[in-house]
Formats: sequence, structure tokens, C-alpha cells
Amino acid sequence: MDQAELDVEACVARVRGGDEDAARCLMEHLYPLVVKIVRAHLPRRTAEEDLVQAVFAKVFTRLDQFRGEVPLAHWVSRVAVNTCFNELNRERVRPELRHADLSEAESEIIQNMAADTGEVSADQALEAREIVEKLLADLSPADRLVITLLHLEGRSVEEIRQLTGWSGPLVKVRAFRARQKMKQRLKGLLRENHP
Amino acid sequence: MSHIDRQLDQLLRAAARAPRSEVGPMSYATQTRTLAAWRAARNPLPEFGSLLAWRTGLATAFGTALIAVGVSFAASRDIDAEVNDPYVFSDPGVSVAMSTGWIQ
Repeated sequence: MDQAELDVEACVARVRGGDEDAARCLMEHLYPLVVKIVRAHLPRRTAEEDLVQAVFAKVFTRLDQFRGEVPLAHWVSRVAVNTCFNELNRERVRPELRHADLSEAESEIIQNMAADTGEVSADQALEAREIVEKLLADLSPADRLVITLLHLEGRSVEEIRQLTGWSGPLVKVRAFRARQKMKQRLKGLLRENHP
Repeated sequence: MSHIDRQLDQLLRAAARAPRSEVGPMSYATQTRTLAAWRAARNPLPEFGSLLAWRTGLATAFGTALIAVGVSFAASRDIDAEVNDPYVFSDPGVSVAMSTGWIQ
């Protein structure tokens, strides 16, 4: 079946009836969306494919709860974000990040920031992402989730509210506290570099 | 906005610009594993039925053991009666040998 022409409503109805071909089509249709969310929130010690499988297992077993009030993609996004959040909760919080934990390229970015030599260049984006990932690893799963959604995926507070089920003020408070913690850790890294 | 706020924003903006790896098609193995898990969730083992079968089996085994004990007890009483008879040989081999004339 052509994915572009997939009749989602009919496909969902067939999956509810236990049709495995329809389930396969639905998985192929939703896979890019699910894998994007999983990659953005993947805990360091979890395999991407395992988490994707866990998301789809939840989607299929809870498909009867999907009422069609929102598009299927929104509902699946919410299931995926919550599955990732639960997985992050299982992962033990890592010890505080030290300068010695950074690679040479990451260390260079911190040195430039400490020396205040302007923006991080575009070709250093991957290293910047790695530093942010390491800073996020120190945070609680909720803090980590809110920073990833707000700053790395560029989602609005309203979108985060819909995805997580948290209230708007709670999203803002969590984002503020998470930023405070990240600032403390970044300050520590910069101080280590320029005592 | 403080200096550290600006530095953190700078880092987050750069991280958000990091290119993401391409999303390929879903692997056949993951699809198959997911479908197998879904199939298993749809058709769970009849828990009540299996428990009932287990209990029936246990009761049958207990009943069989009781019958076996009863039968062996009854048989032992018959043997005791035979042993009390002085003209009965306890060893069937000896009685066969005597009947065939090997032992006088």
C-alpha cells in the first residue's frame, strides 16, 4: 500500500479487528514520526529499536482508547513521549558532568564560550549537541524532557502541554527550574576552564 | 538576561541546529517483533483455564496415588494370608521348579 495514500481511519479500524497487514502498514506510516521522537529523547543506555518497538506495542494495545478527537499522529506522539519519559525514569541519574568528560572538540566550544569569542559556529553544532546531551543527562527525566521539547525541538508550551498532559504553568515552572540547573552546571564547566 | 543565560541559549541554539541522521525504513525484524508482541497481547493464555487444568491434574494424580496405596495395601493383606499358610511357597520360582520335577 502506498504510504502517501494510506487511509488512516480505515487502517485503524482494520488494526482494531486484528488485521496484521493493516498493522504493518500503520507502523510503516508512523515510523518516521516515532523514530524522530525516540531519537530526541533516547536514554543513553537504551537501544533505539527497542524503544520504537515499545512505543508501537503501546500504540497497538491502546488503540481502542483512541477516539479520533485528535489526529492519530498527535495521539501517537503523546504515547511516544510518555514511553520515552518512563524509560528515562528508569535510567539512573548520572554523576555531575566534569570538564574531563568532554571530548577535545567539545572542550574547544566551552573554551570559546568562556573566552566569550562569539556564537558557536554551524560546523560545531554536533559537538554543541553532545555537550547539551551531557548536561541534560544530569537532570531529572521531567526536566530533561521539557528542555528537549522546548529548546531542541522548538515546541510551544501549548504543544508540550498536549504531549505530556502537564498543565501550562507546570511546563513553564519545570522549564525554568531545568534551565536554572543547566546554568549551574554550565557555569561549573566554564569556571573549570577559566578559574 | 544574564551572561550565563545568553551562553546557555547560544549552546541550545547551536545544539538545535545539529543535523539529524536520516530516517530509513523500519527494519523487518522490528516490525516482526512488534507484531509478535501484539499478537501475544491479543491472545493471552487462558489463565483461568490453565489453572483449572493444573488443579484437575493435581487432583487426578492425588486420586491415582490414593488408589495405588489402597490396592497395594489390599495385595499385601493377601500376601500375608498366603505367608501364614505353611504349605505355600513364598518363592514362585521354587513352586514352578517343584511342579516341573526339577526339585523333588
